[in-house]
Order: sequence, then structure tokens, then C-alpha cells
Amino acid sequence: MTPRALHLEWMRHYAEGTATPEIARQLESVLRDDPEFRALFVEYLNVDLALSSSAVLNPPTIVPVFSWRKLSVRFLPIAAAIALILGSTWLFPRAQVRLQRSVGAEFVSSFSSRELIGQSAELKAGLIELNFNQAEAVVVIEAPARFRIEDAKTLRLESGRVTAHVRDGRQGLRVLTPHTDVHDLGTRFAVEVREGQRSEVHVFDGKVETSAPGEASAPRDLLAANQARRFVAERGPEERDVRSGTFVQPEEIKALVAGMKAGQVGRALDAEASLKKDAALVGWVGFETQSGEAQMELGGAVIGARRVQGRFPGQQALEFVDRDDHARLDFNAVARELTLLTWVRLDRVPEGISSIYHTDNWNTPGQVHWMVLNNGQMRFAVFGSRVSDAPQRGEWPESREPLLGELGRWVHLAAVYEADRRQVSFYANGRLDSVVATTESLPAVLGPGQIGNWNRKPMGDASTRRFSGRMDEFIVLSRALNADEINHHFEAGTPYR
Amino acid sequence: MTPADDVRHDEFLRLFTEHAPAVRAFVRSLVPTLSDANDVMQEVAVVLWGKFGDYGSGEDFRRWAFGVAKMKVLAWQRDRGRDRHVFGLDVTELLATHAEQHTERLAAQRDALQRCLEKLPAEQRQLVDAAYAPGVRINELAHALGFPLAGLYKRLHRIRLALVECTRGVLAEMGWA
Repeated sequence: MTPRALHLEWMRHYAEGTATPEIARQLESVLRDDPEFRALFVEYLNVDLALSSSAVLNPPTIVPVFSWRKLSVRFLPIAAAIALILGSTWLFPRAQVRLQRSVGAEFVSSFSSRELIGQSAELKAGLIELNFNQAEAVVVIEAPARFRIEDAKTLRLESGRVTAHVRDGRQGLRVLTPHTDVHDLGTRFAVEVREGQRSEVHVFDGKVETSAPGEASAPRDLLAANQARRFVAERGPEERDVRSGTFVQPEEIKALVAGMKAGQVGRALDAEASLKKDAALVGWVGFETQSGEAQMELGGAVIGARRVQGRFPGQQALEFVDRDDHARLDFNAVARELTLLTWVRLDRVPEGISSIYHTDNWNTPGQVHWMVLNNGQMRFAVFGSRVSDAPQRGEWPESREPLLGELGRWVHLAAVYEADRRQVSFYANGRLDSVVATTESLPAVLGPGQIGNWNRKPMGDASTRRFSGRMDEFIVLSRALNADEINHHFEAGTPYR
Repeated sequence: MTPADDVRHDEFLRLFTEHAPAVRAFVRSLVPTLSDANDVMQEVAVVLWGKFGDYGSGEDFRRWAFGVAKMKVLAWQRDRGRDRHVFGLDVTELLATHAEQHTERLAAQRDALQRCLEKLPAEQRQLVDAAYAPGVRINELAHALGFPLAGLYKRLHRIRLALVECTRGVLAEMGWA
């Protein structure tokens, strides 16, 4: 046996508690004289410790019982808390997955919040927030979703979307999908599975690794912040744009819970019913399944975009992902006053422009284009009427405050056009942003047009504008709503509190 | 407890939660077995809370906790030294100094361990999971698995060494010297 092998053998005996006095004395001598071995010794014991702690292993089903004889009554509360922290040989289960919050959650079959590990579930409405305490991760699951909590650090996602936020410095959460396994390396990321089609992984901060599904030893690919990848069966991964707005973030849940408790759903429905009675209503486009028929009445069709959960549990919005996703519609209206209202969740669009609503026949007077530019400002243009005053004279009217802080969450946008007053007013989240004077007194013309991809170029043309995110309601009125009315529409409809 | 006690309690828990893994690693480097480390750590936790009133809020909690832990380890060695061999004061000091100077690296190593565990062959992974499950006695596990006790100890030793090597590789990739 080589000296090193002998030293390692002594170390083993020491760590097992089987060292004889002679072994311990010899080991002590090596530790005194050999700094490299001393480093190895400390690291070896550190690994031994980590293996025994709750941080890395799957939890046992046996709950060990700890004797509190040594502790006085005075110390019991703190000792109980310490026990939770320390992990091994203590009173409580070491690993848990806990249902932390829920927002209007409805399950297809019963879902017990007591024993989550090993439980499968189908979430048909709402959101839930799970705490994987062993991985120090908070995971948000949004309906519709089918999933199973495999163990204290592993979520299997059959369909739906999840967002995970792992505490800084921690790692170990796994999300398994039919198309790839995702291994967290300390990060904030999201996964979406469209059943039978594909899975997508989006990384917002930090890094994750992906590997072939179900193969523990499969080679892994690194995915860093602001990268996204799509996995399709039988095909290689495809790079995608990160869609931050697509996924509900853990910090958003608290405000959504408060909004539900404050009765925002009811207020929103009341406001909707009231607005639908407004004589100036040109079109109210919702995206509920039955509302799809209403869109057809407006000459509409949904192309590529799909219905997902709206800003309230159980309600639907339209989600635009790919470049060609859009919704066609024709309001068939000419108006001297116009108010456009919408609720959107916007992703940051790499090309720079989020196309909200574009009529088709640009270059003819009165055509309407409404968008969010890459600097976060809104632009509302009626062809033929430019900004009349310096310093933007001759440009298209734009809002003042950038919306960048509102990307990735629900935001209420409004634009009011008044031909006779020659002005455009911009509102964000119910507040007046700016009023921009325009040159002409042209009526707005709302013929065939679209939400999303601006289809003046052939499909797939890279220069086409796109909309990336969700839209929940798009409303057109042929009168100018005032600031109070717009603020009321926002306050009644916001899902947050 | 009074509201002031509540505040101190919360403050203690916050600090203890943050630093407990490092203190445990420090203690583990100074005593022979995991069971010994758990015994000492329990004493350390109780003393830290009991003396938290003397701790100044601007003080370095981890350094203070290491100091308390070292005192407890020395007391433990004094008590156990009669019936078991423990390291002398000079080697204990050398190990304590190394563990304290490399606290961040040791924390990174514990984090890196997850990746290394996932690279283990399934059989080794299952063995580690079984051996380190709370309440498991190695001799009973060896019997259940049909291994000689010494053979099981040696297998686990080889796995731990492999994990040390693996974590060193991960740490090197992350830029640790």
C-alpha cells in the first residue's frame, strides 16, 4: 500500500469512528506535517457532512425523533426552530414541498396540500406557488397544467408552464419534461410544455443545464441568462427569444392573491358589463372560447396565437409567441374620436417594436397603427397626421414615460384620438402620460387589420413587426374617454392589489 | 416573550440560518464522526442563543459562532479524551484555521456536490442515499444488502473520495483555486 493510500485508509477509519489510538496518532502526524492532506481531510469531512444534511439527498420516509432532555424549557421554542434549520437527527421531516400560495386554483381531481411529494395533479384554473425547501426554490405553476411532484427537488411537468426562482447560491431543482430534463444551477427560469408538441426552457438569470429526458448520465447543454431553447421530439433544440412576460413570476403572486381577496374579478366583470352598454362601443374583443365567435363577427380569425389564462383565473387571453402569430379583425368603422383600451403582458421584443394593433392599408389617410417601441414608449399613428409641435414636430405621436418597468406583468394601455381637437392622449395603468398635438383633423379609419404580426410583408419575412406576449381584451370606442373613465377602467380591471 | 424578545429571536434565527451550514462544517472538521458533530453542534446552538444577549449587532456573527464552536469542540475533546483518542490542540488549531479560512470554498463544495451526485452511477447513488438516510445503522444496512460491514465502509469511502475529486473539478471550473 502506498503512503497516500495508507493515509486515506486512516482517514476512513477516523471518519467512521473506528480509528485505533495508533491510527489516530499516525493520522494526526500526517495532518500536522502535510498541508495538502489537511485540505483533503477537511474537504472529505465536508462532503461527509453535506451528504448527511438535507441539502443534497432525497428525503427518507422515516422521521427520526430527537431527545430534548438536554434542553431546558426556556430553550424549547428556539430549539424547535434550530431543529428545523439543522436538518439531521432532528424532530421534523427534512424535506418538504409546500403549497405556499394559490390564486383561484381549481384542480380536476382532489389535490391534497398535505403530502405533495409523489402526488400528481391537473390544475385547470388559477395559479399555485410551491416551495421546494430542499432546493430552496419557489415554483409557480400556471393553469392549465398537469404535473407530478416526484421528490423534494424534482417536478415533472407533463403540460403547462412553470416559473422557478431558486435562492441565490443554491441549486438542485429539476424540472422533467417529455422532451428534456432541466437542471437548475442557481437561477430564475421557466419551462413550458405543450403536450404532444414541444417543451421550451427560458432562463432569466443564472444558468441551467438541459439533457435528454430520463437519462441521468446524458450529456448536458448549458443555457445562460437571456437564452431560451425549444425542444421538439425527434429534432434538435432550437434557439428561441426569451419570453419574460409569458411566465408568472413568484413576486407577482402576492399582488395577484391580494387582488383576488379584494374582489377584483367581480369589479372587472361589472366594468365589462357597463362598457358593453356604451353606445359608442365599436368592438369589444375578448378571448374566451365563446368570444371567438364574436371575433368572427368582426371578420376576425386567430392565426397561430393560442388561448391561455388571462389576468384572472379561469379567464382567457390570447398569447402570441411565434413571429407569424396574429389575430385578424375588421371593426369596419370611421370615427373622429377614438379610444383604444387593452390589457397586455409584453415580452421584450428583440426587433424593437411590439405591434399591438395595425390596420392593413397604411399609406392611406386615417389608417391606425398602435405599438410599443423598443424604448418602451407607445406610438399611436393615424396616417396623414403628424406631431405639430417641437421638439417632435413631423414625427408620429409617442408617449413620454417608457413602459420598460411594466414588461412581464399585466399592464393597462389606452390611446385616445380626437380629430377635432387634433390630439392624441396616452395612458398607462390608468394614468395620463401625455397629450400630443397633431397636424391634421383626419378621421380614423378602422377597416381590416390585425393584432400582432403586421402582415404587410409575406409571412416569415424577418422585417415584419410582431407582438410577443399576451393580450386580454381589446376595446374600441368611437368617443374620447376622459381621464376618470380610463382610470376607472384600469382600477376595476387590474388583477393586482 | 416580549416584543423586544421577538425581535432578538427573529434576528438570531436569521443569523443562525445564514451561518449554521458553515458552523456545522467547521465543527465537522474537528471531530471524528457525524454523530459527534451533531452532538457538539447542538451544544453550540444552545450556547449561541443563550449568549446572544452578549452579541453586539455590528459584530461578525460567523466569527463569533466559530469561536463558540471551537470552545465547545475543545470541551468535547477534553471530556472524550479519556476514553477515545482525539487530536492534540496543535492539530485541532491547524484544522480549525484551515476550515475558517476556507469557509466560502467549503460552502461552494457543498453546493457543487449536487452535480457530482447526479453523475454517480445509479448503484452508487442508491448506496449513498441509503447509507446517509437518517436513522440508518451501517451494520444493519450492510446486513440488509448482504455486504460485509468492512466492505460497505470501503465502498462508501471510495464514493466520498470520488465526490471530493468531482467537486474539486467543479470548483476549478467555477474559478476556485
